Order: sequence, then C-alpha cells, then structure tokens
Amino acid sequence: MKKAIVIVLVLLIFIPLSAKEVRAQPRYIVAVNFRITFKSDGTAIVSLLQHPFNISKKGFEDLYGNPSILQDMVVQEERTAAGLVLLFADNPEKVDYEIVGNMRMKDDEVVLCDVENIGEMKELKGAIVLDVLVHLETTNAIEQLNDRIYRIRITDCYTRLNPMSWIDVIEFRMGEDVQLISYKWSPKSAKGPKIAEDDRLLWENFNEPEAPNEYILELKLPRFELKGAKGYEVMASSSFSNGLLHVSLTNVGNDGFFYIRAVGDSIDQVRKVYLRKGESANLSFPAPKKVKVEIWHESTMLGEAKWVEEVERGTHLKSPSITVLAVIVMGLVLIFLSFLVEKEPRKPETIKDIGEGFGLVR
Amino acid sequence: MKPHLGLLLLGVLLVGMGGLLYFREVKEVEIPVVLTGNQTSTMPWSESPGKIETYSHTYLIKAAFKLKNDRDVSVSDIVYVLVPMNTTHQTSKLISMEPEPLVLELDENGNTYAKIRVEMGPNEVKWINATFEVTMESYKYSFNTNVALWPSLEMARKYTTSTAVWTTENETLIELAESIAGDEDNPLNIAKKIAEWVVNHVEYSVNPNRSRGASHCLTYKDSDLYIYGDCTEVADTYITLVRIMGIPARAAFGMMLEEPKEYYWLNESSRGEGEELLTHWGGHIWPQVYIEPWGWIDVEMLEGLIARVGDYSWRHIIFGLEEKNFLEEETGHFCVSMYLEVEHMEFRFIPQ
Repeated sequence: MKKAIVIVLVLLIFIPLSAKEVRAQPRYIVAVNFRITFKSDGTAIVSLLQHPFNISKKGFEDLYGNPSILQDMVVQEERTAAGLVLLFADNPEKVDYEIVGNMRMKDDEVVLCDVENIGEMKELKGAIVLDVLVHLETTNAIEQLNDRIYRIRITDCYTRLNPMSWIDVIEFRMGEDVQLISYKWSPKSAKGPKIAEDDRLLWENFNEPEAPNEYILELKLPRFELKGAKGYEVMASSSFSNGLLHVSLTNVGNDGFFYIRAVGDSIDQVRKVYLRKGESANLSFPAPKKVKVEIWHESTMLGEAKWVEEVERGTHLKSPSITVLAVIVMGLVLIFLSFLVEKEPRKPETIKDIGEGFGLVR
Repeated sequence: MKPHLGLLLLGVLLVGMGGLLYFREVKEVEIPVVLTGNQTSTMPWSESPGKIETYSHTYLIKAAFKLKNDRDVSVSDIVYVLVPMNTTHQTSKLISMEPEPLVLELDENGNTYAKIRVEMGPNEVKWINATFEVTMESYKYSFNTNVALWPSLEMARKYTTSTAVWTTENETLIELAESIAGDEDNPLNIAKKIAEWVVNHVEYSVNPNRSRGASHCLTYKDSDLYIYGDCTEVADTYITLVRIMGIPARAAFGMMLEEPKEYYWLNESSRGEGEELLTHWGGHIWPQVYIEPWGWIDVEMLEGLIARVGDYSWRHIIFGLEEKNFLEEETGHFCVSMYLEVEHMEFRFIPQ
C-alpha cells in the first residue's frame, strides 16, 4: 500500500513569480526576460536575459558580475535551454533546437523586473544571455493558414511547469522579411502588449491573472514551407463485417505514432498505433456501419483507408435441413445394413458321399 | 463378412446426395452482401454499460499552513492554497479561510486555488487556516466490457500525446505497452491488463529525490522491467503506457486516508524520512483513464496491491488534476508562495 512523499520546502521548480529564487550560496534571485526573434526561414531565436540580485537587510543587492553565480548559471545551461523550448512544445525531446549563443555577460542589455513585488518594473543593467535556435517545424506550435502565412502559439513555459507562475517580460521581434499579420492572446482576461509595433510586441506582466497563458501570432514567413508530415506514409485498407470495422495498415514511411480514425454519422473513434518502418498492423473498431477511415500523423491527415467490400459470411456451419438429414441418415443406415445382410452362399458344384457318419450340413 | 453390394452402393449414393443437397443449401445463404450505409447490426452501444454501486462519504477537512518570512525585510506576497475539487464523484465547499482569500481561481488544469495576500515582517511567522467540507462518492463499476469505445480524435490528441513526464515516444515503453496489450482490441481490457502488469511489477519505495518522468521509473531486474518508486512513479508509468495504446489518461492527486478520521502533517523534518513519512502523511497521486461510455475512470494500483479500474474507495480525496502541468513535489500542489517558506502543513479529516 502506498502514499506519496512530500517535502515542505518549495524548490526551484515551484517558484511561481516573476523571478527565480535559487538556493545556493550566496542566496540570490534571478530576474528573467524573454526575447523571441522570428526568422523568415521558419526558425526562431529565443534569447533568455537573466540578471541575478538579492533583497536583504541592506535592501536591493545587485549580483550581476558575481563569478560564482555566473558559474552556477552556466552549469545549468543545457537544462535551461531545454526549458526554453517549452515555449513551443510540450516535450523538448521532440524539438530540433540548438544553443547558438552560450551563456555570457552582456553589459549593454537591460532586464526588467518587479524587484520588490510592488507593481513597478525596475531596469537592471546588464544581462547574462543564452540564445537558442528553435526549428519551429519540429514543434507543435506552428500551423499553416495560407500560403506562407502561419499561426504560431507561444505558451508561457513557466505556467506549463506551475500554473501559478508567469513570464513577467516577453518580447517578440520580427526578423528580416517577416511580417506580423495579427496577434492575440489567451485568456482574453489577460492584458495585451505594452508595446505593439509592426515588427515588435512587448508584454510586461505583473501578476499571473494579467499574464497571458498563450501568445498567438500570425506571421508571414516568405522563405519557409511547412512540410508537415513529410516522410510519413501508411498504406491502409478497411472493411466491415459482424459489427466491426477492420483496418489493415502497413507503414511505408518513417517510424511514428498514427491515429486511425473511424468517422461518420454518430461515430468518431480513434485508435492510436505506433508503427515502425515496414511494420503492419490490423485493428478493429466496434462500428454500426461502414464509415470512413482516416489516417493521421499528429495534426496532418495522411489520407483515407481504401475500402474493401467484404462478403458477410457465417462463421459457423449451417445445420442441414430435415430433408437433407433424412437422406443422409437413410444412406448411412443402408451402408450399415449392407454389412449385416449376407448373400446366399454359393452352392457347391459337386457333392460327394464320403462315408457314414458324415453328412452334408445344410 | 462381406457387405451387400447393392445396399452399400445405395447407401453411399444417398449420403452423397445428402451432401450435395447440403452444399446447395449453404450456397444459397452465401450470396454476397453489398454493404450499404444503412446497414445495421447489433451495436455495442445498444447494450447496457453495466452497473455502478456508489456510497457517499462526507469529511470536514481542517487545513493549516505555517508560513515564515526568513528574510530580514518585510514581504508582501500572494500565497496560493489548493481547494479540493468538484468532480462527478466529489463535491467540495470552502467553509472558511483565514486570512480571507482575494479570489478563487482556476488554473489550466481546472484546479481551484485560493489566492491570499500575506504581509509579513522580518522573520515573522503566520498561519493560513482553511476548512472544507467534502462529500465524495466511492464507487464500483460492474462493466459490460462489450460497450467500451475508443476515444474521439479530439480526446486522443489532448490526452494521449507525449509530455515532459509521460514520455510516450520512449521505445522501451512502446515495446512494453504493446507486449502487455497483445492482440487485445478493447480499450477497457487494455487498461485493466496494464494495471495488472503494473501491480505485478512494482518495487515500492518512498522516493523523495525523484526526477519525474516515466523514462526514469523502470529498471531491469532478472530481464524483466520493474517500477521503482512510489505512487508518483506508478501513476507516471501507467499513464504513459495507456497513452501509448491510445487511451486518454491523466493524473489525479490528493489524499489517501488510512482511516476515516486522520491527521496528516508535513514539515521540514520530513525531508529524508523515507518510509517513516507514511506514518503521518497521506499525499497520493493516481491515474484516471477516459473510456466511453463511462467517461473518466479512476485507476488505483497501490491499495492492497490490487489493480482496481473503476473501483474507487472512500479513502480518496481528490484535490486536483495534472493534465498539462507537472510538479516535481506535491507540496507545490497544496500551498505555494514565492517569497515565504511553507514551513509546515497539516490536514485533519473528520468524518461527518
């Protein structure tokens, strides 16, 4: 029997607000800003700007430039980069990203933070910057709307980790040839951007209710073509018999999960199946009638299964009619009798008296 | 003995005729049926989904959270306290909270948090006290397995995908899920088979220093995979395996009571306690699967080490759900503060 362990101390991952508190020596808080620059080839550079500080008896203490803290942060570089990818995907492991600018000090940058939690952003001069290049195509954040026009959903990666946390400052910049078509955010009750220009949006969020959980941008990316589920191909056929919809699949493309969807009037059922290249599978659904079967990979429909008419056959042998049964039984009886009824024995051709005491037995 | 040739031939002739007649009859019923869109047959959904037995249990829950400002300056902070949630099988009321909350808010997972403004001087200690009344319904399904349906595309997309914790893309876990499910085509039977596998492959130990994720839960022992950890590892593994098989799943968290009247507490001294922790704390996390026509079904695998799918006892109080967001430690579920230490928390459960 079991119950769970719980620790009272709230560790790093639970720190909810605008800055991260780090339990190391010396104790410090990190102000964090995000800057995302979209490029016309469908990539985005995510820049993380951090500024360490502390609030103690003496008041605000700026820790930018403290070598041990910088070292502390550099050690966490890989983990921090993976955390940034949560802006675009549920699972960083599935995303193609790379660190293009290692964690370094940039004295000319400014980090904004509501240091004293009083609803005012303080400008902190200097930032420890990390740059990560993300291929948006490999994320689940991008969706094609039109020719070269895409909707990109950026999710608050802090909220993903803790519903009570939020990003306090996030900026979106449009790179060369990238056109911002429109933008919105959710929930609607959250506040809009503080700065909204043709090539730049800046949100400053002071608390969780005012901070959007999702930023939704529509961009024109002239040098980018979303290939979607390229490389994924499944051959599929479906048939219907005995109240079941049968689907046969063969994966002739990349390994991956596929959704097999039976859809029609009053039916929408999905089987999810993982198929390796060359692998086949047979699935069935309970279904009231013949319906369309679609094959999906993530959000792309690869096609429909080819319909195969199937003869509805009884799976059990039918009982013979009484007439047939009677004929067969009669036949069997006659065969049986044929072994009981002997023919008359043949008469001997000659009979001889071979002496007394003997006689022919009739 | 020699047979009578005439009778024998006649008998064989009759048997042959009978066979031909039977073949003709069978052929007559094998006329191909061209299936039309209007053809119907016996449908699973025309059958009853089975039965459910329910029993109601009401608890008064008195919760208290000790906050400490261990800074040398005054702090004004928002503290978040989780309120037990309302579900199909549970109703929850906030009777009182001191200090009074500013507002009750839902997070992305649908969990309710009370937001409380707390002002504290240097090194000051304060308590948040809350009283809830929770009526939960224990239930036990007698399923008619025949009627189980697979989910819609929308549900499958939302609740079967890979997440940072439920790593459905892990090849080892994919092979494991496929081998457990075998040729089974029924989602309820698959959910049960996986629950039984989990029960038979748990090496239970309290795991305070976890790094959450199904990929970290399993280890080979005698060429078989075993789950090492506590309820978190069990839930994460189960959810990942059923998600791989296309069954929507999520985690519910809250308390599992040892007795109807309980006092649970946790504080700084609890760190590193190991199994001792179980003597005074009942925090629990367990999976739920979504299978039509029943909806969300609780799955418990650590209560008596029996696979209970749709057999939900009075011992469970649900506080919230994990669907999108995950926490390494459960404390983050119950009470969270940015600048203040949650030094101690306690829950008194009083049956009504």
